Order: sequence, then structure tokens, then C-alpha cells
Amino acid sequence: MSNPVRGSIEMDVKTFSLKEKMLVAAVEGAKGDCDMAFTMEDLAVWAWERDKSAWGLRGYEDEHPDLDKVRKDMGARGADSKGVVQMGWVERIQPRVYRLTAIGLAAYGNLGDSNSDLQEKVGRKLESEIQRIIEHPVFRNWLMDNSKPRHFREAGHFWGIAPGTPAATVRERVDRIERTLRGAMTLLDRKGTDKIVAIRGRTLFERTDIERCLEFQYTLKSRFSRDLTLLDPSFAANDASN
Amino acid sequence: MNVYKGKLEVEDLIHKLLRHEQSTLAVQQLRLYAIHNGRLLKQGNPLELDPIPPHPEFEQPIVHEIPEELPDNNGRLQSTRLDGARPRGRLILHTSRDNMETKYKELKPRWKVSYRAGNNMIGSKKVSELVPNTPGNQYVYATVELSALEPDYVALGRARPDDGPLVEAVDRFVADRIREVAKRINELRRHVMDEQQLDEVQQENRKLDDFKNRFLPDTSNVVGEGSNEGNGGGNGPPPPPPSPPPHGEIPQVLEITSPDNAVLRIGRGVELRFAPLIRPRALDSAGRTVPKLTFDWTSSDRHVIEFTSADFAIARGKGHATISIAIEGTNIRSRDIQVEVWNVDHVLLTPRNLELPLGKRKQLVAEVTNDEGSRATNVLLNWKHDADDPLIVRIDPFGWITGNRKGRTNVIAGAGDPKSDGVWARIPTEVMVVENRDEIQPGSRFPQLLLTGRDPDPETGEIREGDPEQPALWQEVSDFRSNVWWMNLENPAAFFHFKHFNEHPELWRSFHAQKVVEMVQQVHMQMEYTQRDTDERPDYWASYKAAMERIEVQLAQTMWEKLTIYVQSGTGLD
Repeated sequence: MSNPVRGSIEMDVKTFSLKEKMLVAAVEGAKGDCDMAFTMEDLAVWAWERDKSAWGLRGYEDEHPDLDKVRKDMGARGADSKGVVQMGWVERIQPRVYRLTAIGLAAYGNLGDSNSDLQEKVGRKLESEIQRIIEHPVFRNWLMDNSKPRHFREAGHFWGIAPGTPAATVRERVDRIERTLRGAMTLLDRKGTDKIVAIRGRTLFERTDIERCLEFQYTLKSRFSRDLTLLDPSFAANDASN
Repeated sequence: MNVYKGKLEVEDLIHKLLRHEQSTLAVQQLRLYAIHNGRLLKQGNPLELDPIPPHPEFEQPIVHEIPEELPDNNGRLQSTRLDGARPRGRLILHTSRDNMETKYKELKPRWKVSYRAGNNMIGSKKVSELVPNTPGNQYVYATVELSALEPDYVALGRARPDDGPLVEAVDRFVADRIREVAKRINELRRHVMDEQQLDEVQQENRKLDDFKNRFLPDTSNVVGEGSNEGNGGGNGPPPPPPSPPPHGEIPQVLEITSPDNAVLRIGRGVELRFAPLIRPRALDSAGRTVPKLTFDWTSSDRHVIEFTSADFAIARGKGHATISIAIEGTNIRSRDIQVEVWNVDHVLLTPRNLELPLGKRKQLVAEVTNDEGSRATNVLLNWKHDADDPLIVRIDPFGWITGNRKGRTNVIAGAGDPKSDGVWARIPTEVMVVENRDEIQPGSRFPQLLLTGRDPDPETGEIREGDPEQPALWQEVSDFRSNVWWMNLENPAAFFHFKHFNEHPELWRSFHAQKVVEMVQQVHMQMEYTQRDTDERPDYWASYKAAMERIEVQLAQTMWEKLTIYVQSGTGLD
């Protein structure tokens, strides 16, 4: 029995990949709330309720979900196969406890036509993420003087990293900003518009601002590529592949 | 309650009870009778509230039908008829001849929006809760009659309706309607002033402002000394008047604050005053300021930037130009100022949310992208905000914003007319002006008396409009920071005297002079009681009053020696 949120996607879920199906389950199960924590077991049940053949225990598809299948798609399976966590759609907050991210919400919005409730939710979440970037003092200083930041510690302040941060965390935090911005950009492209407007006519974010944020992100990455490579040796290779 | 000789007048008691805030609702809800010694009072009629005389031109209540559906705060439509099960509601707006907020005994308890469902009173909210900071809102009160509010929004005690989406939606509707009436009342209360008369009063104001400088306290004796002797406690004599500041007589050079080789970037369509930005100052050979001079402002290309009156200019078209300033009637000119006008393509504002304590100043960054893709954050723009009260915040063309009155507003920046080809930021900065826990420091500028409707506000560079609800000698929080006082011509008393300027100039001069004396007293009081830093101690009101009277007596005597001649003849200040 499925339990869709208001505004769930009007699209045939069966055409989605397994990861997309998991994202749909996570968004609808968590009712689009990025603050709501859920366990891997919750997700397994939500996903199974929506597609029993895909997420059911082999031989008992209609009776029991298969937690192992969910676990496999949550995490990475080799360098070329990123799980939903690596894609930034959900984030791990404790062992086996997760929550939805703005990127996940944006990706869900990009999967199909959703109604105004969900669009509003996606828009507002992305707005708050973009606002966090635009209001950051390092970004503001860069607007006023493009030669800033001059020291890695300032860029680190923006990304939330510092010497000693584990490489995986460095990668995750630096990528997270970019993924959020790209998610917002994809949403704009898909809608064929330059701005996302809330129900009452308030502009939540616009293309020019996201482009500016992306420019800032690329500037920082290029300016401090040596520092980033020191913290995360895979940075140079990953950056080149991106 | 104070009882004189153990007795209470029954009529007096009823009158006092009726006007009490907590009685108002009961009298509206219930039929109450007063009985004294077995005798029905008020000829056996139920007690009722005194009628409120309406505001002129709004004699009849304004009745609005409440639409069947109204959007709540999230934009969702709420049925005001419970999907057709209840009758349509209505909103009745009443007006008051008097300011309901300031008549705190009789009218303030009734300055409310009352909610009824059928014959039942559900409660009320203060008008200021629904439309805070809307000029003119003090003259409006309202009743909402909406059956659909019962039973879901009826709270125990019926003091106010329960919160919820329908009340939210109705409140939005009520607020919009109150705002419309309040704005009309506020416009009615504004006065049309004779321009020539205003010019003459401005000249007189400048003379008086100059004159008052002779009586200001000597700041060098007070600031930073931290001593109580002579300056505090209300016991010592007032500080001696300082010797008049050294002024030059013959100008030699014209100095401006704009740095060498700096280019002023301005968005096309921006209208602004240059004097507060460039601050031209004429100096004599000894480097002393030469006052009372008029400057001529010229632009090398009026298609780029055009001066329409004095220092007020409009950025007409994209390109480069130079501005120069000259002292009228002389060949003395300032160095040229380079100006570049940009075609604004996009404005990005940051931060998007700003909490601003009262009296504090912060900068909003507006990054402008022009039609060639160049970007800069130092482009001069026009700024505006959407609060009903224009004085919530004060913003200068560089985006420096001062919190002036508590409230919330959305600020945007841009250039040109947004209805034609002007470009403004699409995402505003939401500014919330909050209580300031720190002491607001007075400005370091020289105290100045300015005239509403004529002089530009130092905080914004724009002409400050008067306000009929403010005193004749007016100082807002932002003015305290800038050390300016305003002669508020919209104040009823000030306007009365101003109106008679032509027939009885001495009447106006007397009023004007009195306000100048008051201003000087305030400067002295401020000096005594706010600039002692850590030595400042709370004092009894009697001490403050004694100090105020002492200053008044001493200043008034010396100031009025000269002012008497001025009031009678209009001369004698030089």
C-alpha cells in the first residue's frame, strides 16, 4: 500500500531506475520534509510498498521487503556506481539513520510533474540553500573584491572544511554545494524559466544568482586546488572528470 | 483605586469602569445595567460605550462583503462560508476623529478589530497587530462579522479568536482594507504648503540654525572626561557657551570628499542628490570653512547625467561624463568628478535577511551587472522598501541602512522606472528592525535644525517629509545618530503658525524661535546625560527636571535677548 505525499509525482514509477525509485520512496515517505530522520528499515518498507517486485525479498516479494537490496543502492558500489548517499539525495546523520537533502528534493522535482505543494517545497528548500551561499560573508567579500578570498582558511570557512578534515568529508562538502546549485539549475532548465516563484508571487531564486554562485564555487576550487588536493588526493582526478 | 474621604461618585465609577480595557469587550458582548441603592441608573438603559466621533470625510462606516474565498499566509484559499454552509460575512470599518492610540483613556481600549459570529462576540485584536506601522492606522477600528468563525475559532474567555488558516486569511483581508482607509486618512491629514513660503521659512531656519550655534555646549569639556564635576547631577551651572566656531569670510578653494581619480558609477535612471555624497566645502586661505555659499552643479554631458535643480541629478543615459561644482558668483571650482552611468541588467542583493537593532547601521551589498556583463558593488542605486511606514528604515544610495523604528520590511535596490525599462532586484532583503539592547550613541556631527519638506535627510540624501503625528521639534532614532532635529511643518501646531506666515510673520517667528530654544536645551540635556560614558548613573526624575529647568532659564534668557528683536522685525541674528 503506497502512502504518497500531496503533490507526489504523476508519473509511472516503474520507468525509473532503482535509485530513482528509492528517491521517490524517501521523499514521499518523509513527506518531503528534509528535517525528518528515517532509518534504512523505514526506507526499505516505503520503497517496497511502492514497488514490491523491485524491493521484495526473493520468493516472498508480496510479503516482505528486502533490506539488503536497499542497502546496496544506498551506498557506493565501486567508483562508477554512486549510491543515493553519494549522489547527495539523502545524507547519513547516524549509522543507519538518514534524512532527505535539498539536492534530493530537487532531483525528485526533476523526475516529473509534481503539483504546486511539492513545487513550493522544492523551491523553498533550494531557496534556503542558495540563500546560505549568497549570505555567506566569504561570498559577499568576493562580490566586493574578486581577489578575495586570498587564504584557504576563508574558502574552508565557506565549505566547512579545514586542514585535518577527512578526505571523504572534504569531497562531500565541496561537492554538496555544487550539486545543490546544479539541482536548482536543472529545475530551472526543466521548467524553461529563469526564476522560481512561490505561490504568492515571491521570487525564491533566479538563474543569474545561481550562475553567480557557481562561478564563485569554480573560482574557489581553481584558486585553492592545491590545498584541496592535499586534503583530498582524489580531488584533482575527480575535478577533471567533472 | 484612590478613594477621597472614603467616598466614590457612582457616575465616576461607572465611567472609569466602562473605559477600562477589560470592560470594553464585556459591554459589547452583554447587556449590562447599573443599580445603585436599588435604583436603576442611566434611566434603566443598558450601559454603553461613548460614541466615537468619526473622522471628517469618513462619517459613515465602510462596509465590505468578505469574499467567499480568501488566501491564507501560505497562499491557500480558505472558504469563508464553510463551503457554502454559512452566510457570507462582512467587515465594517469605522473611523475616529481623534488619534485612538494617543487618547489612551477613552479611545485606546476600543482601537481594535472585533470579531463576531452571528450575535456572539469571539474576541478582538489590536489594530496595530494587524497593520503595524501604517501611518493613519490610529484613526481606524473595525468589526468582522463572520459566522464561519464559530465554533472552530472560538477560544475560552473569548478574548481573541483562535489562530488558524481562516482567521489568518480574514486578517489579511482586514489588514488590506484598513490600510486603504488609513492611507486615505493620512493623505487627508497632510497639508499643501506654499512653495515660496517654504523657501522663505527655509532661509529663516538656516539663519536660526546658525544663530543657535553660539549657545551650544562646549563638547571638549565633556566628551571622554568622565567627570561629574560641573556637568552632572543637575547641581552645577550649565557649561559656558563656546566661542563661535571660526568661520572664514572669503573663499579660496572648493574641497570635496570624493577621492582623486575615483569614478562614481551610477545606474541609468537613478535620481539622487550629490551634495550628501560629495560634501563640497568652501575654504578660505587659512583653511577655515566659509559658510552660506551657494554652489552651481554642472555636468559635461546632460545626456549622461543631468542636474535638474541644485545638486539633484538624474542619470539619463549610459556613458561617461564629468561633474564640476563652482561657488556661485566666483571662478572657484572643485576638481572634476568622473561619472560613469551603467545600463543595469541585474541586481543581486545580499544578505537576503537582516536583523537590524534600532539605531544601528549596516550595509546591504548590491552587486550590479551591466549590459556588457561587467559587475561591481559600488554602483549608486535608488533604494526603496515596501513597509507602509516610510521611516522604519533609512537607506542611503550606497546601501547603508539604519534601523529607525521597530518593524519588518522588504528592501530592494535598482535603477529607473520598474514599469518601463528600469531594472530592480527581484529578490528583496527582508529587514527586521528589533529592539537595541545597547545604548544608541549620538552622532558626532554638529547639531543641526532642518526643515521637513525642504531639507534632505543626511541618512538618505532625500527630502524628509513631515509627519502630522510627530512633534513640531522632531527627532527620530536615525536623526539622533546624525545629530539632527527637524522642524516638522506637518505637526498641527507648526502648520497653524506656518499658515499665518504671510499675514503675521511674527507669529511664525515666535513659534520657530521657541523651537530653536528647545532644541538647544535638548542638546545641553543630551550632553549632560548621555556623554558621561561609564559615569552615567540613573537619576531621579526630579533631578532631570531640575537640570532641564536650570538650562531653560539660563539659555532662554541669553537667547531671547536676541530673539526678541528677530521675532518683532525678522532681523538681528547676524
